[in-house]
Amino acid sequence: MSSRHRVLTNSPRTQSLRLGTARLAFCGLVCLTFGLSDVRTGLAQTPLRQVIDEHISAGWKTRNVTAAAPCSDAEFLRRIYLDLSGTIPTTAATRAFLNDAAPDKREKLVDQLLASPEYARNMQLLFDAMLLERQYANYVTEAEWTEYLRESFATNKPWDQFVRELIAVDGTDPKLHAAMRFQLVRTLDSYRVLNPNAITRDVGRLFLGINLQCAQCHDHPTIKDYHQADYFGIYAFFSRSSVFMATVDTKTVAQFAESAEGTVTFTSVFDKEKKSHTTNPRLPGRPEITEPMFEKGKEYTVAPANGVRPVPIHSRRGELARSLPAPDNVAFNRNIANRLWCQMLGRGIVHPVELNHASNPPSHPELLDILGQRMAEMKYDIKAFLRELALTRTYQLSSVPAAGVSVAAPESFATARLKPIGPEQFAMTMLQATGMTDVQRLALGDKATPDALYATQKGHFPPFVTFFASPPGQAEGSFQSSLEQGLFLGNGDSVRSWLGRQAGNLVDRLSNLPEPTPVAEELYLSVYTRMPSPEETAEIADYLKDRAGDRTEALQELVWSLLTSTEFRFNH
Amino acid sequence: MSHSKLKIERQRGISRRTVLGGMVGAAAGGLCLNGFAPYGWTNPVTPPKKRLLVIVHSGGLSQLESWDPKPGAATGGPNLAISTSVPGTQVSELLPHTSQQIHHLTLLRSLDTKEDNHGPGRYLMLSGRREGSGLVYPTLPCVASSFLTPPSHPLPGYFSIGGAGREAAFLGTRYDPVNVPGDKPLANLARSSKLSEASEVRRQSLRQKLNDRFTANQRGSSDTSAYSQSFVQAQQLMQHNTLFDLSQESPQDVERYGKHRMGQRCLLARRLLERGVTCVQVAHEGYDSHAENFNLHLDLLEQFDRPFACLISDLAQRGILDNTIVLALGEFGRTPNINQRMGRDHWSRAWSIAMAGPGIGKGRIFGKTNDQGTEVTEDPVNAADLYHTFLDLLDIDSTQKYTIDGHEDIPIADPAGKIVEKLIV
Repeated sequence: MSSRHRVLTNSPRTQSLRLGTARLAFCGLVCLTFGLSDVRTGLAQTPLRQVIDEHISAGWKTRNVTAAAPCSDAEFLRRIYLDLSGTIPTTAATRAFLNDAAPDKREKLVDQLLASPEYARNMQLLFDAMLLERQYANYVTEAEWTEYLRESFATNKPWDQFVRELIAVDGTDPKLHAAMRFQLVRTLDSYRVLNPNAITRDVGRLFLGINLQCAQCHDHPTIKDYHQADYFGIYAFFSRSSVFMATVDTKTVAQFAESAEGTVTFTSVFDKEKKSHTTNPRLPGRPEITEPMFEKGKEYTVAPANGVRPVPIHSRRGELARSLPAPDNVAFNRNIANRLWCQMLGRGIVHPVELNHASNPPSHPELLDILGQRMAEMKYDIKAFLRELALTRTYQLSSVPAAGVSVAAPESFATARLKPIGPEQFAMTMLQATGMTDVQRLALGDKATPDALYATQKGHFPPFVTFFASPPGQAEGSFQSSLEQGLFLGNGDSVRSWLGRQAGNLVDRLSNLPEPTPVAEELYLSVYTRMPSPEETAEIADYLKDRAGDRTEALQELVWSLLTSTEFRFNH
Repeated sequence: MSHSKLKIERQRGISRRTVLGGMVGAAAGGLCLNGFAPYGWTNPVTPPKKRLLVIVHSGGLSQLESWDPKPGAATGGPNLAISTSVPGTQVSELLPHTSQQIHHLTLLRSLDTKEDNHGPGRYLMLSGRREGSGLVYPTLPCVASSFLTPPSHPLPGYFSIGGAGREAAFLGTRYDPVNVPGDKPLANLARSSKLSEASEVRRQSLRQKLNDRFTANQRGSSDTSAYSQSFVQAQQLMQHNTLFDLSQESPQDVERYGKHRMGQRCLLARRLLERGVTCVQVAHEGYDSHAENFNLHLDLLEQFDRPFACLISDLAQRGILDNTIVLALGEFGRTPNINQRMGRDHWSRAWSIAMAGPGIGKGRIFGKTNDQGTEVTEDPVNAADLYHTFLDLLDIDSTQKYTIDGHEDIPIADPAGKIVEKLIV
């Protein structure tokens, strides 16, 4: 890990500073004594977590806010499990962690979770929702796509390589065929696949943190640094591409073809003279790409012909795959750093994460620069980056605001945010809390691999996606609530069946405990991932006091109430 | 600005400016579970000032077999035109009952929407936008519900009968329709028979107690209260479990509307509007008559005609039409040309919809097509302008913008469009 942190970027500013390890370490110490570590000079490589905490706490001073207390072990345990594995721990794991006296137990847990198969599953779910927004796609099955995602995160594929694959893919390499799905999305409002408008919007939002949507028909009406020319600069990378149905081993498979011709022109709807502009491919804020010129008829490696997939010598998508995910692309680096930050901290440094522009400045501009730069230096190692975030003091604050002062603005990161648990994660979390995952584990016996368990959980996702996900075509993130959620959790088959007594599930375990105090403990550990307070234990005892005649019903009421409470709904 | 409005604004990320522009939320503040009278409006509920009923002819109703008949023309088909309650106005003979309610309606006969595909056509008519822009816009009833449903209203703002969609887009799930099957109970509405009412009350009250404890110490937010509120709303709707129960309607009405699916859906629409719902949509499927257009319209319009006429007549008689905009529309019309399978294909260049309600002319014909129905000859109306007009009829400023998360402004209607002033009386 530490050697990775010492890798310097290829940027000219730092190239002259390739110094020996000892010297770097020494500089790090020197810089520390001067408050904020000046990593921008490239001289020091203070651990990223420390740099983050220095910037965030400096912000508390300038904003004159009081930070929350550090979170408890139980808060940390639930939070990090949900963030990295998408579910909550078993009661056994909770007890073990809470009883562990090792001073480095949080760090060990982070490493353990990042190495777990559940991490890759959770990232697969998160990035599927982020990249495709639950829209349909043709030609690549969902199963192929999700396995591609899972494997990419399981092997910790660097982010730049991942993005390169999504853009450059042409479908000829069977190993990468699944990556085509990103460009094959059929947006809800369009039947068209490989729709350059949809892809332009996605490339801007997802990889550069800028939503150029409103710059399609004219310069953005209110965001002055979003230009129509930026929109069509990205558009031009894709406008020559199309789907080609190829025959491979007697099977018909989709591939991407690209023409060597086709010019992008655009007109502003606000321009009374209807002046037409032409653009070559171009990334926002950069000059148009100068393309190699070819003699007429010699532009192709494979010339277009009937039933032949044309391959140009110069591929515009290939050009984008080279220039977009590159260490010198500051917007690209900042975007992924900011998105991972948002995933862990519940709010981006630029927020919303897709609206990075001058009038929506980052809350911590210097820190965001550093995060982007470090992301590139770390060779886009997502796990290493998440690890640093998880080990910050900032991440490990309590979600209870400091007492006696007014609540700090969210962009000060002085209190842990309440993050709504994603739809699939909420299903998995409920299955674990009600003990249904434990029941499955028992039933599968030695076949209870993470894959086998996931397969049983996945079947419960659809109603959770129906009722808890953002509508198709909308980014997840903002909290969604609806009356139908209340009906589903109150009356729906899923939760009701999980509350039925089954050998080994939570209601069963509670039923086997005659005394109220152990009931309170098992209940709170299972559902809330923490011990009950004395007040809460007394409340449970009181609740059960006169219910000997209908004890199972009383226990089901208790489990339901905890399951549907806000403490359970949010990652806090 | 009241506290509850501010909450909604944060919750859905819509700006103060937009909220001040007239937007109110559907559910805020603590409601008393029993504070809603089953019939009509009583304190403390404030009725929405305007309401909306949309009937969607899924697949594309033929204007020639309905609102704009061309009897005798080469394109006219075999059906005759009949006189209506408005002297001089004729509709297709397939609408005998509706023909007697024309004095409540405006027939808009000059639509030119230039979109001949089902999905995009429907989207264009209901969201006022052309497909493929990359951003998905909410449909008119979601928008109307978000603006018009008063705070503290005990019922959701938008019920879609026979619908199955998520339509609220960036407005968020709380403005999605409650999708009612129409011919069977709403999913998850009924409490399990194994759960006693006492048990339900106990667990709901414990849930609330746990929430109060969790959100003490300033940990609560608009999100936590919205989540808690979704259970309160669910409980409220469960208390109105007769809301969808057509057996409570008189046998005469059930008979009058018809015991078939469309009849039941229209009667349910009346029932919901009577109980104060802001927006209702009714789907009537099956109009895509590429073959056997005339037989198909004979069947479908028989199902549509009587319940629609009953609905218009009842809404007028009960005063609901005084504050309710009614729209009967499809994704497009059908070709004047009759194809070799006696079908009509998709046609958006010259077609019709029917409208009624405040601001809409009574017994009025707006626009005109030529003798063969192939071109609009008077007052052409496009979809963007029509959408602005719909919003205006609902007293919603169609030039305002949504400000999502405080930064990106999205015009609620296509900025290239404008209100068709002539259409409004």
